[in-house]
Amino acid sequence: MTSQNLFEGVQTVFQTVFEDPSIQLARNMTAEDIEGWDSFAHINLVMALEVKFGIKFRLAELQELNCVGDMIDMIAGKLGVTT
Amino acid sequence: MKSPSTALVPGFFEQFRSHPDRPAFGFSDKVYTYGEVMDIVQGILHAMSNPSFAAERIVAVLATPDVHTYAAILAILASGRAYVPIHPQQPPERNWSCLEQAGTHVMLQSGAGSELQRWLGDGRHPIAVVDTTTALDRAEFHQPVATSAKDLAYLLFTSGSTGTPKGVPIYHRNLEAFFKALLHRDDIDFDGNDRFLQMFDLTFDLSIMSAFAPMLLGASSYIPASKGVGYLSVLRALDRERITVALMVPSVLAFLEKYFDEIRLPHLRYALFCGEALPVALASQWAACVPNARIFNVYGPTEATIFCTAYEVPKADGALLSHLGIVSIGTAMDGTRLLVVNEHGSVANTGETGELCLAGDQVTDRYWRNPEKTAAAFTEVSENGGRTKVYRTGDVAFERDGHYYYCGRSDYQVKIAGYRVELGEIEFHARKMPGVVDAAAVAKKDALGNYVLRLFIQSRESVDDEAIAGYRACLGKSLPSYMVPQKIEVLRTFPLNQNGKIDRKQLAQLVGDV
Repeated sequence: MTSQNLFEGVQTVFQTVFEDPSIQLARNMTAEDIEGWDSFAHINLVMALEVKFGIKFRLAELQELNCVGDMIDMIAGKLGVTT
Repeated sequence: MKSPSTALVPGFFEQFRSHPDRPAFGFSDKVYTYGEVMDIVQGILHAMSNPSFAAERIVAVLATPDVHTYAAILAILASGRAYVPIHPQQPPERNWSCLEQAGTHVMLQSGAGSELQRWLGDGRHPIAVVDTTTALDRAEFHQPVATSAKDLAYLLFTSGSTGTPKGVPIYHRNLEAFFKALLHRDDIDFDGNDRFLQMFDLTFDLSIMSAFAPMLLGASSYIPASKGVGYLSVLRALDRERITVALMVPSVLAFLEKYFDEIRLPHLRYALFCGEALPVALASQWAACVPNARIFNVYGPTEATIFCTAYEVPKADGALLSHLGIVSIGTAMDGTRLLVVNEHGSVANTGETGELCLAGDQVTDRYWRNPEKTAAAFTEVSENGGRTKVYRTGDVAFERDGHYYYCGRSDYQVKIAGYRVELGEIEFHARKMPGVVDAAAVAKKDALGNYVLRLFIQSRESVDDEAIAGYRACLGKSLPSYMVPQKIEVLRTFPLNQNGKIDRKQLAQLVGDV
């Protein structure tokens, strides 16, 4: 998997979870930038990412995620993808 | 040890004089001492000494999560007035309804952005907005104005069945009764070293306990960052701020349940749950995360001031009192009486379910300027040859051996084919099924006026049609056929309302026409 594939995969998950195909991710985006990204949407998002990429997040890891870029880097780290 | 004051404003002023350098309110970026908070309170009190405030008995406060908002509430109360919190994110129509019903013409704000002008701009009701961050004149120290027990302390609006918010007036006598019942309990030892979590919107009355009980003790209250993912911020605050007293809604546990094995909060001394039914399974698992905490399930509607019953969850599993997988709401706190009233209007026998009615010092006596709703909910019950004034909660409960058990809202009870069906019983069995985190049953009338059952399941696993058929078969083993929902839908998460509770109205909308 390339970093571009990873980015596009994460973007697809966001579009699906938030039911908004127009979402275009940027690395510096946060929960403030996407309507409906609250605690419970976050669970859906995390679970959808876990299923999509076959990974598991630990709670401590979730607490360190401050923006989309952090999320992509963490998934990349788990998959061994260089970003 | 001297018992803490139970009058909020005098208590806060007393703690300020004794401990001006102690932390009072902590935010993600700064902690404010009692002295610093008093400084802001004094600035606001000076601004409110302006003659334009003279006729205002109720002052609105835009409830943004910053120190000026908390100081504004203290200042409004210290000026002898009552406050009505206005939620910046709620629909303008609702906010206007609250302001108009309250009859207030002044709103204090400190963190409003352009959204305030957006909904305030139509000018349908004259409101003077005062920016408390510019209230800096502290030349004179304003002492608090004495209030009487029958003076209004705050006015909160809850959702009304007609769509118009319903005002609940809470008087100083109610608020003092709550603080007395809580802080003077023999089995509670909150003190000045405690660090309280305050995770609620200020439009939700649980915020008053979390923010202001500490002010009577010389303790501190910590408000998690409002940015980012809410419940992760709550967990971060519990850990990093070394919170010792936390009042939360059980939905927090449902959110964190997947990660319980990673959570250890040794600083927590008290974990209180309120606002919705507390499932036994979640309470028991949570106990392992908070090895030094005592866990309480507390209950109470806004009309009875924050909460008015309490039950301590015992450490030993076998001793836990529960009904259909839901932890008991325990016994009445001092000053409150609980009565279960059956469908004939009489006080129910032990073990008999009925509507839970409340009486006592914490219970208000009316809805705000709403005689029709007041007459429906604030009534009298025949008891021992006399009449007792009560508030009808709309909650179904029963009493056994002195402890009370919550069975759901009265509209959770429906009749199907002549049988009385408790939706809570369906949910209880559904929660025991593998992979199910939570369950909510909804009854909706079809075109012929008959109830049809739907079950929503919160699951962390993928569930296909075969698994759903398995769930129905599983329920069929525990429930009579008329109680097995015709359709089961799986949601990864349940929708929540503004107060963090499961939004059953939204679930009912998901059902659509049946």
